[in-house]
Amino acid sequence: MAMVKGKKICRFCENKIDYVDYKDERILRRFTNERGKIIPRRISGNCAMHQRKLTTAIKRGRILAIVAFESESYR
Amino acid sequence: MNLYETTFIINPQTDDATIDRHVREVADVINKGQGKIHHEDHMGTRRLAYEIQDLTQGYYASFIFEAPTSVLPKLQRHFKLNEYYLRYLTVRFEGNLEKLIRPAEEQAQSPKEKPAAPKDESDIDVGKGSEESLETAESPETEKIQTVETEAVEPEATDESETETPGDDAAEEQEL
Repeated sequence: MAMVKGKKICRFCENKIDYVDYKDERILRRFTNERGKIIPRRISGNCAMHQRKLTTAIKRGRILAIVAFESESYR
Repeated sequence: MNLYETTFIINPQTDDATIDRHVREVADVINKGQGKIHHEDHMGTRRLAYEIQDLTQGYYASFIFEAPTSVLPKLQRHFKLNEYYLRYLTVRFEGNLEKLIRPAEEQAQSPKEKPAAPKDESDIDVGKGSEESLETAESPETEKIQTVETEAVEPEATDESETETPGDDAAEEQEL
């Protein structure tokens, strides 16, 4: 799958979101794969600052059982 | 005094009054330690991403509060001693508190606040027309701003990232 080269824009910058809420299941789900892993920056296109904030948010969300640490229903 | 946010999960297998009492207990601990609660959020019963004590659902609630550091160990002690708290997390709050509080206030005061705000702008343009016509002209504008704000949050729901990632992931795994 050849991806078209082009500047990926950080979704958080685009929407001017400066705080990633760890209670927002929708956002945390969007940036984890079906296994529960955090999607890397090179794929999601997030900027470094927002990826950092997102990572802490996802990790906090895992503690509070908002997103899973890992999902067994895979394969 | 620092701003903190504490989120906790309560065992939902009791009646609503008991759950509410458990939420109030947390608020009491904060208030007793000279803390001040700025925002309270009862998210209600939600599905847990994984089972905790064989439960699949939990009652979520959170407080955003300002308190001296001495409150935090007391809070932690409270959560640890009472087994109906399934999980708790207290972190420094780094979001925009005003954004959280304002929407609630605007809803309550909307009939009074909304017409008052555009008036200030109309004062500048008084030369062009009467105040009344300006006010009516500007009221839809404020509505527009509101819709733009809500839309700005929604586009997050674009599926692009979701469609992008599974393919990349599969590729990654093949490499491994």
